This record gives sequence, structure tokens and C-alpha cells, in this order.
Amino acid sequence: MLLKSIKVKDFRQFKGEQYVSFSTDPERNVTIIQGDNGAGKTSFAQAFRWCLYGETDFSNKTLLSMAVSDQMLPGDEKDVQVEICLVHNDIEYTVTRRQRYKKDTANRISNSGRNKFVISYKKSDGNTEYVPELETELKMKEILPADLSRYFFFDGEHIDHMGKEIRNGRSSDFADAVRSLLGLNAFIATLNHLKGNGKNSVIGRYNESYNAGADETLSQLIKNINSYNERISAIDKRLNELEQQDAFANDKCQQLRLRIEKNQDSKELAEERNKLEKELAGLEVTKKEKTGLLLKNFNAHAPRYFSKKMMKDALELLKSAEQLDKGIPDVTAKTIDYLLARGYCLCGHKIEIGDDAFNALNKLRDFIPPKSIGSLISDFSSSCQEKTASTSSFFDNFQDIIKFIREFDNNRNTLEDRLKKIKERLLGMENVGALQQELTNYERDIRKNSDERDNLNQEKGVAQSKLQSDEEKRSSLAIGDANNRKIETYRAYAEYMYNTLKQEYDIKETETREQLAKTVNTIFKKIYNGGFSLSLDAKYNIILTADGRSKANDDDNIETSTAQSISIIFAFIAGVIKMAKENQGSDERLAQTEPYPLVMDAPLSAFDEKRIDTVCDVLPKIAEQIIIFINPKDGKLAEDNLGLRIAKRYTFTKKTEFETDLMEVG
Amino acid sequence: MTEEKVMQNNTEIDVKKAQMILKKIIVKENNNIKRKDKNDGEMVKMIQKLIEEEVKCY
Repeated sequence: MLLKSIKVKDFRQFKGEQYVSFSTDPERNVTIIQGDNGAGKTSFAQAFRWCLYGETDFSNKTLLSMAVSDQMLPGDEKDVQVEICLVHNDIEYTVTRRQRYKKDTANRISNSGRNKFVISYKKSDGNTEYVPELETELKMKEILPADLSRYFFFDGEHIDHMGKEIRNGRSSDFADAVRSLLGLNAFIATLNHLKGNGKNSVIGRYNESYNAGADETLSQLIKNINSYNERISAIDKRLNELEQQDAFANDKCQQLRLRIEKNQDSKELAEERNKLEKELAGLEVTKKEKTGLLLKNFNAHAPRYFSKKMMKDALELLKSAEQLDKGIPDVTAKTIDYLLARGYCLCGHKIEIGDDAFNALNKLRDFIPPKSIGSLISDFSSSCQEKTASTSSFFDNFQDIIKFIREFDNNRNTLEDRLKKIKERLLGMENVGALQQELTNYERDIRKNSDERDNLNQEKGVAQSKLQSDEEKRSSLAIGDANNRKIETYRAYAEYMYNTLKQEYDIKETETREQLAKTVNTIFKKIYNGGFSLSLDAKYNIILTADGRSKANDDDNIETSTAQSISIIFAFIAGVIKMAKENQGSDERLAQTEPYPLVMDAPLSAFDEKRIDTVCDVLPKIAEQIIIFINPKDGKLAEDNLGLRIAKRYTFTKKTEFETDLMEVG
Repeated sequence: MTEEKVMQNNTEIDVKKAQMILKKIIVKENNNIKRKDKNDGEMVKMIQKLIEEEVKCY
């Protein structure tokens, strides 16, 4: 595929129709499109992806030029359109994508229906033919699969991501796309048509063509064979799915292990945090209990404790007042009244009103009940002693609890400080427990898949063995019928061709892959001479190895710089393109491989000057067509280094923030 | 040197003939990849026709 031109209409900054024609001259194969930052280089580069695959990386998905939408009235409709002319397999295609936008009464712009994707091509008789609408996506996949396109239409912002992606866990689609670019398409298509599509393949159709007639045994054998074939196809399909699931799960596991390793400290910190939080909570509970006890104790004993001094003073005073011992125990005023009334004392002494005994007894009334001051004082004294005694431990207890509360505050501050620090450190870290759980889930899936794969392989083996046995029986029975004999022979030829071609394809694919690995590595060494080498695994994933180290020790964990990543991508794509060119004509049976363009947004900004020299030297020699979007600073470097390779130059002229013009220069 | 005849499913295969058919098929597949004139079903029928014409069973 080579790009002939692109025409954009009202696409982002590009108001009206703007057109760029690309150089397809093999000697001067570079087209440079230069513009200041913000002038719309990236938008223009995105126009390719949108047109061919309907995808963009814009955060604002509205593609309609703002300069156009501002002039629209409510109810107005406008189309955004990108049209790319390209040549693929010597056929000229026009690929067009159009999206209609409408302005509503609130002046909002929105899509009006789905975008229209049209592919037309010029037939050999000069007439234009349209690819049926339902087949356009398929046709685009055939011209350049989206999966691979990002390596031919790539921008600086995604280099890191692409570099990692090209090295890890690519889908089987990616490997198929690379095989297709390397010219193995015809082999793959032949294998698929002979046997790959089950009932719809040549062998599948022959299997269904036997005529059993009245022969019940043959009829049963035909049924069995078709059933085994169907089951084997289903098993193969499932095995393929499992392989893809495993590739995805292995990729996830690898990422998770790295994240777990990176965040291993967080596990210990999280454990310490949990321990400290538990400790703190325990302290809070104890403090609450102690405070409750303190208040209870205070309410119960504090008044007595604080009145101790007053009680002591009062008792001292009463002691010195002499009244304390003047009462007679158990003698009351009634006793006095009785003695006075009977006229003689307990001792027998006669009492008469007004005599000394009479007066002495009457005076005694002051010290005995009901007046009873002595008794009251005596009771008070006992009560004071009792109360004083009960407060003897109050102060010590109170002091102990206060001490604990003070210590608690200190402990809590220390714990809280430590917790704060741990939480701050944990803030930027991932939860290893959750990551570990996720890893365990993926590892479990892989084990589950492995078990299922083992069972399926076992089942497939049994089915294949039964199939072979029944096919042999069918062969014997088929001899009796002329038509069946023919089918038997055709099928045997188809089987033989399939087996021979499969064997040849496997060898050729391995040779091609090994050759590609060498080519990619040679180009990489030229572009990035930094002590690293590239190799390819069976799925065309790139493995970066530090020179002088064995692969087993590398563990695929070499971190790449942007310059390395971009060099890897360049080397890989350039290697594929170079191999495709070299393969042309090497085997007359192989598909003629296609030339492919490299469309690069700001490719040189990641390199230092020395590497720019190399990149500018290597790429135009390898790729058939180079289209570079570049800022004026790098543009000068490109002019200096690409020199005569540049056939066409365009510049972006920014008219306003929302409008850019495109002009061909020099 | 490639054997001229081999057995496949109890059927004798003329190796030269098989290789020749295979080459024709790949060339046709090759052309179809470029031009996409035929879909998968049509290609399968074309291959069957090619085998049946070349093998000529009696």
C-alpha cells in the first residue's frame, strides 16, 4: 500500500477542503509536512487513522471544525470528510469516511447518525467499482490490518506504549498480519481452503460427498467421520481461544508481579498500620474505662476526702469542749422524771424539790436524751472516723488513674505519629493484597486453562485415532462404488497436498521469522547502538537483550527509554518492510509483498543528533514511502539529513486557534 | 530425490502431479489475494475442480 493523497474537509482545524499529495517516487520518497506546535500536525496525522479505521485519540471526539460549527445555525447540518487515495496490489483505491454533524436549538453540535465508510477502486477496464458496504471493514483489514497499522501510522505520544506492546503479548492477529506482510498469505490461504474451515474446506466437502446408498455400515462411518471432524474443529477453535486467553493472562501476571515487587513494602506497612490501629483502639477503650472509674471514684469519695480536714478540726474542738463525757449512757430525761417523782435516787438518797440532789438531777437533763448532745457528738465522732478511713486509698487510686490517662495521651500521640507516616507512605503505593488476589485469579485461570487444554488434547487424540480408523474402513467400503472411489482419490490428493504444504509452510515460516529477526536486529544496531540486541519469539514478539548477557538472565525486564522504544518500533517496521521487499520474486508461488508507507508524527524529537543522522539515512532506504509531520526545528534537521530524498513539502499556517491552512512549498 | 508415488489413505498419489496441482492452487490463491475476485467458498470450489480435472479418475 502506498498513499497517493489525502483530502480533508472541515476536519478539526482544517476548514473547507485541504489536500496533500504524497510522493510515490521510489528515489525521492519523502514528504515533509511542517508546522509549529499546536498548528494541527497531530490532528492531520490522526485524519489517516480516522479515515481508514474510524478511530482517533482526541479527547474531544467532535471532528467538525470549530470555525465551521460556530457559523452554523440551529438545525444546520455539516459533513466532516476525509478521503485517502492509495494503491494496493496495483489497484487504486479511494477510501472515504464521512460523519455528519447537526447543531441543535441549544447550539450544541452532535453526530447525526453513524459515519459512512466507502471504498471504491478502479477496475482494469477503467470503471469504478464500489466495495459492498458489509465488506468494507474486511477489505481495509486486507489492505492494512488496524492491529498493524499503528506501527505504520504512529505518533510520538504513544511510542512508549507501542514499544512495550511490540515486545509483550501480541495477539495472534498481529502475528498473522506480520506473516501476511512477509508474503506467506498464499500459503496460509491455501492451507485454510484445503482443510482449515471444517465442512467448508475442500477436504470437508469431500468428506460429505460420499454416497452411502443402502450400505448402513458406510452410512454410519460417514456420519462418524463428519462428527469427529466437527468435534476436532471445535476443539482446535477452543484450543486457539485458550492460547489467546493464556497470552492475555500471562501478560497480566507479568505486569502484576512487577507491581507487587514494586509495592512489596506496602504489605509490611499495611500490616504495621493494622497492628497500630488495633493497639490504638485498645488504648481508647481502656482510657474510657479508666475515666469512668475515675469519675465513679470521685463522685463516691471526693466529698469525704475533701471534708477530712474539716472533720478533724471539728473533732479536736469537741474534745476540748468537756461536754463529751458528761452524759450517762442509757439514762434519759424520763429516768430523771421517774426518780424525781418517786423522791429518792438510785442510791437511795432522798430527793426533795429544790435540794442539791434535785438540782443536780435536773442539770443532768442537758446531757442526756432527748437533748443528748454527748451521744450526738459521740455518733458524729464515730461517723467521722469511719468516713476518714474510707478515703484512705482515694488519693492513691485517683493518682494512679490520672497517671494512666497522662501516659495514654503520650502513647496515643506516638502511635498516631507513626500511623500518619505509614499512611503517607502507603498513599502512593498500591494495595499488594489486592494485587496478589488479582494475580492469584489469573494464575488460577491459567491452571484451569491448562487442565482444559490437557483434556481437550486427550479428547482430540482419541477423536483423531477413531477418525483415522473410520476413514480406513470407509476407504475399504468406498471401493465398491465408482463415485466413492473418485471422492476417495480426490480427498487423498487434497490430504497429501495439505500435509506437504503444511510441512513446507512451517519450515518457511521459521526461516522467514529467523531472517526477520536478523534484519530487525541489524537495523536496530544501526539506529540505536547502545549495547542491546533484538530477537523475535515464535509469535513475533520482540525480545530486547543486553549484549553480553544470556537471555535467561534478562527476564524481559529491561526498561526502555523513549529513544530505545522508538528505535525498536522503527527497526521492527523497517525490518518487515525490508524483508517484504527482499522476498519479492524469491519464490514464484509466494504472494508479491506490498510496499508500505511510514507516516510519522514528530519522529525525530526523541533522538539525539547523532541518531537522527542514522534514522534519516536508514528509513528512506528501507521504506518505500515516508511521510513526516515535523516542527520547524526538527524540520531543519530533516532537511539537512534527508536532503535529496524529500520530494514534497507542505507547511501548516495557523490562522487562528481554530483554523489552519495547508500549503505546498518549494 | 522425491519419490514419484506415495500412498495416502490407501490411495496412490502421483507426487509430481500433486506438486503441480499445488503450485497451480497457490498461484491462483496469490492472484485472488491481489484481486479478491473470489470469496472463500468459490476458492474451495475452484480447488476441487482443479484437483478433479488433474487427477482424472476412471
